[in-house]
Amino acid sequence: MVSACILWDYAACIALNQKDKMKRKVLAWWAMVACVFASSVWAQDVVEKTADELITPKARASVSKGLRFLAGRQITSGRDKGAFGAASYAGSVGIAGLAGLALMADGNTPGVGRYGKQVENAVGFVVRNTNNSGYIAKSGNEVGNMYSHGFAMLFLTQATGMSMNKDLDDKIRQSINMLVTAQNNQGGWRYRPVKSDADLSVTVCQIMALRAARDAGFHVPDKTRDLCIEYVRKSQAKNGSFSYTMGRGGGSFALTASGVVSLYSAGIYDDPMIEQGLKFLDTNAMGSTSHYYYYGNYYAIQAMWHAGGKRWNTWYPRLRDELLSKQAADGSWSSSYGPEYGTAMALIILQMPLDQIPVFAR
Amino acid sequence: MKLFQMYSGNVVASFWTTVFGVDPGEVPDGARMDFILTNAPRSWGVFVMLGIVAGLVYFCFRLYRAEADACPPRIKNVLAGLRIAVLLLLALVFLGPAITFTRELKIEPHILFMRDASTSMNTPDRYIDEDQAKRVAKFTKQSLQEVRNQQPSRVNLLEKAVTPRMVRDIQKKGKLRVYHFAEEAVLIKDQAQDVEEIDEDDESEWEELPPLEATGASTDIHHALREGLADKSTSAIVLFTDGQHTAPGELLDVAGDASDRGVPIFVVGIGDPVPPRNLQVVEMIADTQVWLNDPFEIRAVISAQGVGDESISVELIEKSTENEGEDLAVLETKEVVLPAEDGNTRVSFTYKPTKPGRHAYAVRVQQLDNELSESDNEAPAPVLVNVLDESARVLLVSGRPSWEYRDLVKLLTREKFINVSAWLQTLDPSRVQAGNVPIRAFPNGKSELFEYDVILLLDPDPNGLDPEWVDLLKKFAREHAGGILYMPAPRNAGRFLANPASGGIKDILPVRFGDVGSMEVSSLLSMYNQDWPLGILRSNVDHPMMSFYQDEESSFQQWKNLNGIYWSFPAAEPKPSARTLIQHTNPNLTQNDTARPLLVTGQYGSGRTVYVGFNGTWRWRSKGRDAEFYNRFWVQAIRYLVKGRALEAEGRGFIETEKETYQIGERISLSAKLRDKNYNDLEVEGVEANVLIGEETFDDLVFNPVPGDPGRYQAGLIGTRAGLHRVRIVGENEEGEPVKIEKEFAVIPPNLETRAVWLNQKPLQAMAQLSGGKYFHIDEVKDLVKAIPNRIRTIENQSPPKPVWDTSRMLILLVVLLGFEWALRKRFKLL
Repeated sequence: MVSACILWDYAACIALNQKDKMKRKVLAWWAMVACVFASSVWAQDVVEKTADELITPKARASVSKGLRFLAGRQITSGRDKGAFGAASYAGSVGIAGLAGLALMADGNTPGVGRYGKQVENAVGFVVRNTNNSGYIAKSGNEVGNMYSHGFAMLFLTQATGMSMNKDLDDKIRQSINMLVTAQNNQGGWRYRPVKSDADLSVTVCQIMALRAARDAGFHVPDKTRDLCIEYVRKSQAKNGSFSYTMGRGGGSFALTASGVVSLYSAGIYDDPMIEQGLKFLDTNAMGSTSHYYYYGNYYAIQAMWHAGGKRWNTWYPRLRDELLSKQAADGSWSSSYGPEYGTAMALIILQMPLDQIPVFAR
Repeated sequence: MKLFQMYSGNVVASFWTTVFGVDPGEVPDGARMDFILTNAPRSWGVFVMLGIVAGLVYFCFRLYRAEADACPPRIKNVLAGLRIAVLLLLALVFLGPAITFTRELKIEPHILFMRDASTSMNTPDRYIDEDQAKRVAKFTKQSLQEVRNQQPSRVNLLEKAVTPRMVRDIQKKGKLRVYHFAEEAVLIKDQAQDVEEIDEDDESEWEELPPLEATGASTDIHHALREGLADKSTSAIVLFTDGQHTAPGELLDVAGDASDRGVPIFVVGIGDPVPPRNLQVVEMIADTQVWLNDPFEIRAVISAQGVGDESISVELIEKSTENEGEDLAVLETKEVVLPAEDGNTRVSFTYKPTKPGRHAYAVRVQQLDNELSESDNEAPAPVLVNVLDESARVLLVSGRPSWEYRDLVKLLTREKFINVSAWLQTLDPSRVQAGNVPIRAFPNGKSELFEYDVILLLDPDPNGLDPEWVDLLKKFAREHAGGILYMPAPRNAGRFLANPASGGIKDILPVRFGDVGSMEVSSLLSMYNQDWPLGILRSNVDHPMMSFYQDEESSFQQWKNLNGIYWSFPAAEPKPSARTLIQHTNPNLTQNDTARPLLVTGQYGSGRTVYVGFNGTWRWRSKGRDAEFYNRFWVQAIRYLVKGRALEAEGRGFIETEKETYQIGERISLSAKLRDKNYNDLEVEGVEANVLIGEETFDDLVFNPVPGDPGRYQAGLIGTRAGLHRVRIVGENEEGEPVKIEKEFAVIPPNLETRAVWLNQKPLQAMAQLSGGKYFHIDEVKDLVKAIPNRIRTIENQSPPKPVWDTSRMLILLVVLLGFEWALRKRFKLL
């Protein structure tokens, strides 16, 4: 790996001094191929740890506690039955979606499993709050806007096929139509469910949901998919990071993690862009502890899960230990968006090795 | 009180028995007769009685002397004498005269010869241990060098040690019982002949022990000794063994019990006590079915003893399937560095097959200097691999985009040997179906459907499936040997099985259902929040779908480690010929003593069927590396289902085994599906078959028809010899030419018996000592007879006393005496 990267740098240096454009392209191409090849060999040579090895007894206990906390926060009756709070972020469809995914990651599906009932209720809540336009938002509590929509829709796409809810499929179809309509010409989305400008962060949320919908057999126009991928591709800066909005220069750890995951979601596994993005994450791992901690690591752990090998063996235990140290006595993880959000994100991250939710599967 | 004795059969004895009216038939031959008084007083009572009798006699005499003077004194004396005689007779009756018969009985206890019949007894020892080598040389009357060169097997030494003379001498101390033991103890010979009848000088009359065939898969010394001690008449046990006890059970415990019972255990230890320097290929694993030009892995486990961290070379060889032992080619050679400590090393080869058909592969390690055995440097039997030249064609029909569907379609699309076409019934019309061979229309017609090898039905929706399609599905399995798997789920299963259009599927499935009409409502109302562990049937973990490791125990443990289930479909029971692999562990779901079947395999006509009665195999993705066991379960399920069709394509039928490799001593069940010249199910009373090793016919067997399943036959045999076996049925085609239907499988020595083969001397010595017996080296075996205690005993068996007074003769005598007295008195006018 190191030698391949040295080769890459060396080739780039030569390329800068070359006048011949063709030679420059060839050299850079070969160096990149070497880099990708080396990284894949690097990944293969390492024996990946199993879920039983990674999720230590302490982590298992922590997850159990976290799941109990999350399940205990769910509203069990009334108009908001299935939500994980009555107001603000906790009461949003986005948190319901993320919490539902966190419970699903433990092997619960609607109506089946220790927390099957909570998952079923969460499905009901999100379905009830999907309006006829396909936009998923609780009326009067639209915090999180299109982020919420993306997470909630992702949750619904995982519930379909496993839930008895008869409205579920129609709501997913409506949500897809809304996204198709609201996609801007660059291929992205912004905070509101209308065609406007775009940012990578919101866009990746929708890409994941659309990809999951396709996996579940729903029609997503190829044009929409192609535009998404194009948007993500164009968002990558030269240093391998992904920028918040197109052409804005280098991006953050969280954005880069989401960018890499969106490429994986699009079925792109061997593109040099992936390796560059992963390399950026490797060298900027400290960024994972700063802003948007849970959001960034939610994508980073998915990126490393797909990358596999040594990266996965290194990242997961580090993040696991970090999260265990942050857990509160009641089993929650605190966040500026509320403990429901922090707990749901932490549980999704910690349970990633269990490989239960289809959209996260390799 | 004994009065006198005599022996039956002589004149005097006959006289007395006649006198006392004893039936001669009641008198045993050679018995001693004792005349006794059963009511005789003891001690001072004797004197009291004598006094009373004497007093009565005196009183009587005096009384009669005082009779009227008209009676002459002589007559008075006679009268007194008669009355005294009556009194004495009555006194005798009071004393209870009786006769007893006494016979002498000889009690001969059993001396047990227990001979180790486990496979390790076939080991030819090199005798690295100097002392043991000298002992064997002394015993065999050979030089040390000859012993080490010839390496006599333990069985040979054992048979040489037990001579007919030794048998005869031991028989003088008890009746000999000979057991052969391995995993069980089997009585081989029970001495019936009385040793006294054996002519001491005529060697031809001396008994020889039956030959020993060491084929046992394990050694349970503990169980064998317990079996021996269960016989109350056992006086000593002689154990011939190498001491490698491979079963649970403490030897010292049983030795303690033997000591308490006073049964000494004498042990003759056979073998070399030094753990040998040896390399052994103990296990080979490979997929039994692979695809042409698709690299597959052949793994081997090499056991090293006393070798150290040497580098050895390991070869992958292609073997002949026709001629046993013949190498065809060395495919690859690897250098492997062994760990410094003894143990197992795993080696794997990746090989790309370039020719279709059946191939045999073996792994061989280089020979070391002074190795215990060279014969185990190569796998005892090669692995058999069927190289198919076409990918398996799988149709995956799913009613919903369940997680089961999503994970499975992804897995099967990635598998190189599978061409999967998915049909998701809820897919949006504009979408292309998933799979590496996507289809645009549902395969409704015979020609499209019969293109597939396997059809997987994941909770299909009955809407859109017509009865003709289900009939076609039946034909697909019955006549075209297609494989069908059905997995129900809460959403559609009740409707699917109850619907007249699709319910015909129940005929194909290997389980019976109860009232399926009422199930949908109940499944909708239920919440499933408790998981139940999988009820794995240990005896079935060797099934091709269940086997994760060659070692069945490891597979069993791995299955137990997999996640349990929440929801399951209420199937009532497996059909008679089906095989349940997993069942529910909730006792409340048991019906008529049958646990709810969860994973069942069966046969429908020529095709294989699988019922997976729960939906949650995706939960197994959390176990192993990269969803290893989930992937393996499904790939193995596809391979199992494909195999029926692959075999059928070979001709007019096929023979199947449950596994590809068996251990010696294991039962091998064979099942055959046979058709006649006109390709109808063959219906005859039995079909003869040959079992071959190489081209040598090793055994014959008969396949018997399976009732209620036309064309299906079954047979069984026990693996007794290591090697590649082939079962062959020869029929005729339409032109009268022979048609061979064959099946190959491997028989290997049992693992337990090949891991530790040295003489385990210390536990044997401790056991012998604790029991009160003795340990013998092979050259000391001549002293064995002396050491065995002689516990033959003679006991007297006395019959109950037979009263001799209570007879008509005694009564007549009394009447005669009293009558005579009365007549005299009348005559002399004393009345």
